[in-house]
Amino acid sequence: MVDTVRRTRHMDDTDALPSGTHAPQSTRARPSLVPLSRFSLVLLVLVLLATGALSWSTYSLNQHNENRLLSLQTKQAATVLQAIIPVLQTPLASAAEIAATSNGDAAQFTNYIDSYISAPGGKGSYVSSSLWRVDGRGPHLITSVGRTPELLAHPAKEQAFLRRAAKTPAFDILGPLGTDEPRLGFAYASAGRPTYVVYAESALPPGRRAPSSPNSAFAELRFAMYLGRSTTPAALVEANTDQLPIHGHTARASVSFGSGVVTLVAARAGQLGGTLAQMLWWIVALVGVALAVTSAVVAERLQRRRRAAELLTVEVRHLLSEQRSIAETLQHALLPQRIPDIAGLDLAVRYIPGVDGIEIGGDWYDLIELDDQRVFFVVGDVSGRGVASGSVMASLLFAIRGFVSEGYDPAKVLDRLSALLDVGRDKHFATVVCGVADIGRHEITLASAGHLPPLLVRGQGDSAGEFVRLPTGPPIGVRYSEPHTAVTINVPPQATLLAYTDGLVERRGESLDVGLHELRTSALGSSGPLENMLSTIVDELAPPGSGWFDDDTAILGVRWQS
Amino acid sequence: MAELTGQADSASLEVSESVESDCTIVLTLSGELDLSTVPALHTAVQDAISRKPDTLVFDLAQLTFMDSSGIAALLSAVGAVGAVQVRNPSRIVRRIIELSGLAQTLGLPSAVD
Repeated sequence: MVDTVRRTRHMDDTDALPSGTHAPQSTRARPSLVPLSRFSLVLLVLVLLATGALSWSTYSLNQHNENRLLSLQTKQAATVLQAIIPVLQTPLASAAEIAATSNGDAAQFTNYIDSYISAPGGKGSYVSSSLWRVDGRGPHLITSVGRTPELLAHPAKEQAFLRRAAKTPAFDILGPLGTDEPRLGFAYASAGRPTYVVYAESALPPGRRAPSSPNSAFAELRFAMYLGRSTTPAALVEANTDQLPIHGHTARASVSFGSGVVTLVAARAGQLGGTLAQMLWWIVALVGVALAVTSAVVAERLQRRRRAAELLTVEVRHLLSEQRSIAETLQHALLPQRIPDIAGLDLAVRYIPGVDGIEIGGDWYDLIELDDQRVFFVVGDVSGRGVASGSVMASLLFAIRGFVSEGYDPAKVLDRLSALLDVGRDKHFATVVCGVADIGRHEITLASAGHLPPLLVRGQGDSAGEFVRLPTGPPIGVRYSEPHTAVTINVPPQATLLAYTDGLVERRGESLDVGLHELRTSALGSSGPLENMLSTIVDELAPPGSGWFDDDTAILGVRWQS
Repeated sequence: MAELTGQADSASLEVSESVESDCTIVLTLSGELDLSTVPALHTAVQDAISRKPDTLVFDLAQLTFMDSSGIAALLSAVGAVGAVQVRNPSRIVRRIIELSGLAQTLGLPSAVD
């Protein structure tokens, strides 16, 4: 408690205090349309923007990768396609060779080629094959195996294709032919004269729809294969989708196929680079949004907490300053405002509120003018601090004034006072020294209730100061049957009596005697008016701001002018 | 700031209780007894009083400082129990008690000057 109070007071000293409580209240009452502060909002937007950018770049990187993969896979698939050529070409090349050596013998041709012919969808590569002799008069059909060649239905194509095929001993392709059961035509010519051309037709799958096979090079692609470089529906060989032409981002690869060209157009059927790569931009976006919201909420909470703490600090400072000013005002009001002006007597008082001046102290002094020759003086100290001590102090102060006005002497005043306080009940007791100074008689009557002995300074010189030896009665508030007793001592001219409370001489870790000795030395060392003596004592024993001076202190001085 | 904190931290008080015989309770105090530490003693005193011992002894051998609120706590037992006795006060504490005129009340044998 003590620590807190001191620290806060330290803050008060350095910082200006607000003039009223309205500023914090009006700040708190300000309606906020946006639930977030500007800082949190900016943070939220920034993190969201960063998330958007990161997410977008992740997305476009993935797209770029996918397109690259599609292009690679399409090329790879086209290469696979080329590998079919020998399978198709070899039987025709062999049959052409047989025809050349046998001078176009139909039986030998039929015998050889028959195993490669089957119905559509069967094991053989072809549905039909035929042997042609091509000479100056044109192509001449020798024999035909399997289905009737579709080529026969197109005489113009037949002439052109077979003549072209006969010119070079290479693998020629034609098609697609027919509409009901579309076919591709292949031809291989023998070397030498006359030229024999072996022609074969293979059936395209029904509806030119490629059978799906999950392990093929085409598994992850939507593709369409065309004979030639054009991608018209007529040139379509087969596709694995009904939606033609292929939509979306496509890759195209053209590879030579015998004497012709096959074009492959493909698009992704799904994700090529794995699901994680596809999901990554989603994950980045979700994590980013979560991060944005979290950071905004945290920032908001921190800001609100700081704002609340700031408001609280202002309020606490204000309350403390209010409390301190109340304490000071009360203390001021209780202690006598006016020092009696009595001819022949100097009177001076000091009250020092100690470091913990935020609370009401329990020390007090009082001066009551009895008549033009006598003054009643009191110095007292209620144990503890705070409002409770202050109220005990006030009641004792006023009770003493009452008893004095009824004419009681110092010892009787203390006896009567004892009845007002009980330490067991009130948790407080008080030490009091009081007395009557008589100007004319040069004498002083003193009574003490557990209080430190007053110092009497008879003049200058080391031996001139002494603490008055007087019977010390029990403090006020202690149940004790013995009555208080007073002593009367004679004082020489210009003598000074100093009464004080323990705050002036009591130090942690030091004997009271040390403090008492310092007081005596300080009093004897000072010169000039009584006010000067008190100032010197306060400066030397209780310098303000010295820190270790933590108790409040009251000092009262009485000096005979002559 | 530092010196203020250090000062406040130094004030601490420990109160331990022992029963010497059926009728005597001894409260041993160590540390410093002032306004900030006195509540602990008040609690211990109230607890001791409630058991109505003949004698309540305060052993102050380890007590280095006592202010007026501390004396008030000791005095709060006077009258509530048969007798209150202060034991082994340091020279500093003894002077405080003597100057307050409480040596007899607190059962402290007169010092030899």
